[in-house]
Amino acid sequence: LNLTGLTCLILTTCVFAPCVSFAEIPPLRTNEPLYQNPFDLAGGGASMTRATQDAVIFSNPSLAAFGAGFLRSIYFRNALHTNQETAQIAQKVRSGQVGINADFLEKAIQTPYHLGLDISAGFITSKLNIGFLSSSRVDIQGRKFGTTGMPELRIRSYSLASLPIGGSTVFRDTIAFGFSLKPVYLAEVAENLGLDTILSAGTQSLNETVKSKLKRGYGVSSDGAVTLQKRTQFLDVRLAFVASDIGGTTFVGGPAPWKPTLGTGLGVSLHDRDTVLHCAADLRDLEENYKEHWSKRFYSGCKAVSARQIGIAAGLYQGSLTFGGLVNLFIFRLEAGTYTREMGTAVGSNTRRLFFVAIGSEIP
Amino acid sequence: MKKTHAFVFCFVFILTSISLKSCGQNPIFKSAPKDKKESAEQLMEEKKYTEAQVELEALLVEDPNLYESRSLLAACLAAQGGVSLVDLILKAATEKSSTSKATSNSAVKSANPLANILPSATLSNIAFLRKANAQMALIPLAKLTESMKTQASAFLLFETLLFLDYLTKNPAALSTLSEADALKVVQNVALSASVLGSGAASKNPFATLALEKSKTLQSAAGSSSKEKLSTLLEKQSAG
Repeated sequence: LNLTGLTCLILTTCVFAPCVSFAEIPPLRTNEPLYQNPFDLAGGGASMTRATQDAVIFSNPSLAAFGAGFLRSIYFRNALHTNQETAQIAQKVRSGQVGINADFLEKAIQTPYHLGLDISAGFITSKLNIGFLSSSRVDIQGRKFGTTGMPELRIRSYSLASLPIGGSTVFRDTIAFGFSLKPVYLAEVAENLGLDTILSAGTQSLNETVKSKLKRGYGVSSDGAVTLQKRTQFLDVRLAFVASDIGGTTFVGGPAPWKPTLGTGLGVSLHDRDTVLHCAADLRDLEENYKEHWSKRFYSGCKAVSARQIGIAAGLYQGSLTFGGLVNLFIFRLEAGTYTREMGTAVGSNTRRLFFVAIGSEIP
Repeated sequence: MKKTHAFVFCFVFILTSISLKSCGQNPIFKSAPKDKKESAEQLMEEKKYTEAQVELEALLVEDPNLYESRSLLAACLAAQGGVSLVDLILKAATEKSSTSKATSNSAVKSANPLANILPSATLSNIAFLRKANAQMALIPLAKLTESMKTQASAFLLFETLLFLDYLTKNPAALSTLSEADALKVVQNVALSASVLGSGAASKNPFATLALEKSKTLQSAAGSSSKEKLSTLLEKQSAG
């Protein structure tokens, strides 16, 4: 991606984000948290026992209670997730140059399009966390044999805005409890366009089709978590339990509800004063409410951070290897890497290799 | 402290090695979807039609009212008979752009590129399409979605076209054809043309082909359906 291309893509997404969100079967978001920090994704997405600050409120709200001092972090981050093909087509979609036709179907069969943009900001203290999140995902895939056997375009997307608030407390540096409430405004499109629709769409653009299928709604998502910790001079061990979307999150206005999930994570950190190596494994949606194979619900990996300035991470995310790095220059933080997202209910059936780049700042 | 640093450096080295090796690779292992329909869809994308058929048939034994799965099974059977709608559409687009390209099915040569890329008119292919149509016929009319209607009509059309092509290549078979069977052939083409040619679907190439064939059959000389077929097949043989 050159700078112009990247700018176009971000602008395109920003135009899409507030008003458009594309779909489901299975839903675009299932057992994953509402938001994941890019560096955590590079580390296999195992964030229940040690999430990067901006993701704490989403991954495990009790984590904020561990650590020293009252103010933990003030952050702002902007992350872009995409594959190469999407970067090339995004500008054309926005300007209505991409039509619903056999040519587009063929391209989408060969390489699905996936685009995501997250903007997060907020501050975290040992007791209270307040944040803002704007998140958008678009996934367009062509299938030779769709739901009923006819070729189809599967368009799935959502855009959401949320003002999460969370609280946490710790006892004897051993057990922490946390909760979060996330009022969410969600707009989504979940549409399978059959060959009959594709062939009869004429000059209708993809942009127009998607806008006409939009569903919008409000809901409040709530999470609760408990984390156990054993600390020594060089080693920490954590065990976490997280309940997400407690009771299910329903939306007034039409979008499909989010199912409640339970997850557990185990993490080990080896550290000295400057350097930390954290390895963890999470298993989400223990009750299998989204009917996904365990391999899609399993996340594991390691993150190494030196002097809070340089980090590298690798892991296993939904059956695929991930890797990435971060550079934190106090007022400027850059994260980049790659991971593979699984769109089916099992590993290897419907994958997207994605690259991400995130810029922002974090104090301290 | 030195030990920690050494460990982290080791870790970084291992990470880099894994990263370089894994760059661009997709999942390091695969797991099968729990949902049989999703599994069948995936198998069909991979052209493993026989395995997909087994999955879908097992699903339909459990619940015969899963109409989407039945429609998917029909597509699976048609694909085994050489008719994959997406391949036909995409090949037709290529065919259209290169008219000089040799056609695989000379007996049904047409101005419509779809007609020239049909699979071979073998009894095996025709039998698979017949099975596909039988599956579509098991779906109640009220449960047919627009996609299913288009698919059912397209399969009916292709079965009929393959059968016509088979008769062209095997004229002796025509003499054993009853008037009732001949009438059914004519009616199938007319039915396909009627469904495919109605509403928004009328712009698709399947509809154009069905309408073209229906018109040719209707205008063929002959007082009975069998005579009309005979005239049409003679023309095609001469052509």
